[in-house]
Amino acid sequence: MVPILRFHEGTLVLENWDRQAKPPYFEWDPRTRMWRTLAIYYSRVLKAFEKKNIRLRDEAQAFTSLALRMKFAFALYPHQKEALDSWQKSACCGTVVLPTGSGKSLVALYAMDSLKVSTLIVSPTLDLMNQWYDRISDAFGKEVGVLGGGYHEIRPLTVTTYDSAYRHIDRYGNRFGLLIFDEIHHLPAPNYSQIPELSLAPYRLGLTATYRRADAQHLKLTHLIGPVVFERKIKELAGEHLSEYEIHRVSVSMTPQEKVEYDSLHKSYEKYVRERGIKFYGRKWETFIKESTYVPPARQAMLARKGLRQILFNAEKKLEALESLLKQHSQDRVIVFTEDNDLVYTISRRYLIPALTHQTNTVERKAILDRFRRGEYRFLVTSKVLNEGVDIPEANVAIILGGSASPTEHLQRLGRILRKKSQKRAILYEIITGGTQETNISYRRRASDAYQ
Amino acid sequence: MLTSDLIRYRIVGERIFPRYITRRQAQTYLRVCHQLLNLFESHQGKTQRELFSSLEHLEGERTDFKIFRGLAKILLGDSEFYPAKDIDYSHLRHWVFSRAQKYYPIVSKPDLLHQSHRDQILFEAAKEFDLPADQMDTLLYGDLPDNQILTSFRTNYSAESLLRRYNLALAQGLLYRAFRMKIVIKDSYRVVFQYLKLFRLMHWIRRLEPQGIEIMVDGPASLFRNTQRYGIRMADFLPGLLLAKDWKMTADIVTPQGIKQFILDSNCGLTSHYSRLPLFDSSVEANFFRKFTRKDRKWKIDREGEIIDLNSTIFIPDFTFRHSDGRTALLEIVGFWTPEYLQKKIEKIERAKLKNLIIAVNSQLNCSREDFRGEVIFYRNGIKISDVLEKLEEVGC
Repeated sequence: MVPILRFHEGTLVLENWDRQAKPPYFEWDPRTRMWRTLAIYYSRVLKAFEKKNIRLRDEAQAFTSLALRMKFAFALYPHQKEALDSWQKSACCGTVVLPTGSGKSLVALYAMDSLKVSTLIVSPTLDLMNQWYDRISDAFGKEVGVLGGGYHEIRPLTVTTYDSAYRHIDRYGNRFGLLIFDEIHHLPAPNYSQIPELSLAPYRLGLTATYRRADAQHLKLTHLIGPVVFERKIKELAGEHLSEYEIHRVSVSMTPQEKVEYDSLHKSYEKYVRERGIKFYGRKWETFIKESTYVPPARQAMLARKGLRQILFNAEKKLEALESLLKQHSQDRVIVFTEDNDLVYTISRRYLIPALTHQTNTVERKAILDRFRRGEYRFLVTSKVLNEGVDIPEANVAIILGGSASPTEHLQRLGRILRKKSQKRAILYEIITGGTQETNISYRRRASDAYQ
Repeated sequence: MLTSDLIRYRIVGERIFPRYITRRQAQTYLRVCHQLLNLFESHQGKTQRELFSSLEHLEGERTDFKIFRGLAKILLGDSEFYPAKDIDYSHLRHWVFSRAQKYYPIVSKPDLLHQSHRDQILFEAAKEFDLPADQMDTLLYGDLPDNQILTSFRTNYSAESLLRRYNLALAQGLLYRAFRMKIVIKDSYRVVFQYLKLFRLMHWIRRLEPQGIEIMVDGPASLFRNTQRYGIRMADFLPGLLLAKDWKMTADIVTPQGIKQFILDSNCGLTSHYSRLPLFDSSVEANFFRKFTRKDRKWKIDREGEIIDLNSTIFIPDFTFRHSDGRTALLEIVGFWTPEYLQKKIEKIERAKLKNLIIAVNSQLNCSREDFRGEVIFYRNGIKISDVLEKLEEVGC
């Protein structure tokens, strides 16, 4: 009987094979009385059998070749071309390390175009997943499947998140020939690393700007994906195509009513924090969070903090400032960023501006972005969490409704989403609540921690 | 199902315990359950935002909000939310926003240069989509979860059963992070194996002396990795295990403090909300059982069959027969199945090497008498009682 290779929930089993003769890569599974191995060994198993001239009936792989053709011929920059070449030379397995904003995704699109097989693209957040959905449907003009964010639709080209891929890879691990991992430095986490392990995809591409991890876990990636095939630092690419922009800070005061509320909350919060000597980082902060689940005064302080933030981020005066900026730029292409979702919808309803949040479904999101790019929509309001996922070269004005002053680095990051398209310089406004100094400093510190 | 932030536990040494609501706390929390049930009941027809804000209000400054939210979470699982109107909301928004482009900027306070066109645009939209004009502000985003309406809250919970379910959910919550589960069981094997199979779990079996078996539960990839990926299935399986008698379970749970053991047994007091699965896998089995038990016979039939240990896998024949003189015999029915299944079944029967096994084979299957070791009878529509009785006398021992 011809030995048969099957895919079983992220593993490969070998049927019709002698119990006594251990095949390479396999282990005996007494539970089912079969030879079994992780799906990642698929290519290696095939090669080993071929080498020994043993015919194998492959019922494991279920991915298909596709008639993929890129609709637009984007020109590759030299560094992108080099990256693609070295990935292909490495048997289409490995990671490309390039700085943010240098066009990693184009490398991925060309990789897909060259292999033309069913592909799964995995990203760390829903926003990035949506961004890939937009890019891929635009580039290939094909229906793209989505796994995650409420969708469970598998197609030959599918986008997903690390979380959803981890949960479902044992079901779909044989359906894709190419895996693409965006921000691959997230992959070595114990759960996530099962995504490549339980998939039989012979081709794998990793993308990141920061390959090395402090815990040295990136060393695992060689086994899971392949080696680093290409690496460029930001200095080597500087000035190539990031945009120029100017930054304006607009400070508003609270309404008298907000001020009264703010002061009273601040007083009770400040008292607790000062008495306890709580800093906004480290162990004391963690203890505070923990205590707020059983010590009543801590719980009250935590609720006060929540109230403070709400006032800071939603101050009515900010909307007035926004309104005046919208008047000023009524003929421009404006994106408004806010800290939270509720404010996005308040603005959308009040000024009838299309809104994008993580609650916007993938299809409507794409429609809105497309219309914004075509100029059918001139304004767009979105929550700040999207900033890494949005890439809108057409916008020339960004208005940020922040809590207090943001770290410069953060503004630069936002600036990058506005790319040089016309001669016009992009303008960035940040509307902040003034007169809340002490709290400002602490928020700023926390924010900077997160962005380093 | 509770989310991981709502799961309350305590670690003592090498063991992990759910922080159940105890009998002593029950009075307090029964009151909370009543309040919650009333609150959900009274919010039918209201938006999710209203429900959540009432929940937040009821929660207030209580420090045991994790319990409060856990109980509410279970009730949310029984709630259905739908948009107020059955329309294409993204189409409505597109209509409104494209119209608004012409009048940008929309302002909230009109001045000499800027008139506010907001209300007019929304009014036109209401006409176009046949919607009530005064509700346009919320209807614009009527499909957002926040604005959806609690349309049905169908729950069978009483305050008491909600508390019980909460305790079960805590135990299940620990199992999300389990990578292995060991069960020692002395009785009611069938229900355990039925539920293991239903939730696609795999198992290793060891027979215990003098009685019972040990079942090691995990999944396909566990052969190579300690993985928590089957934890959700184990959590789903737990209420199935609770239906069994006389068992003890030990699960290895991954925690920030290392691997801890979670131990439960048949006296744990948790109650299952699962029903027993149909006792029979097919109508052939069910009909045979009914016909056989219709008359009082010397051979008594038993569905909870004998466990045949096959060295790490097991085989439970469909029926066990016991004669009043002490003889026993077994019956296995081979009905419609895939070729692989059939192949496996033949192998199992082969390895079991049982002298007192009768095999009833569907004559439409592509099998012959020689394929099986043991006494074979063929059937077409249903198994004839007389055929079986005849064989019982031949093989029973």
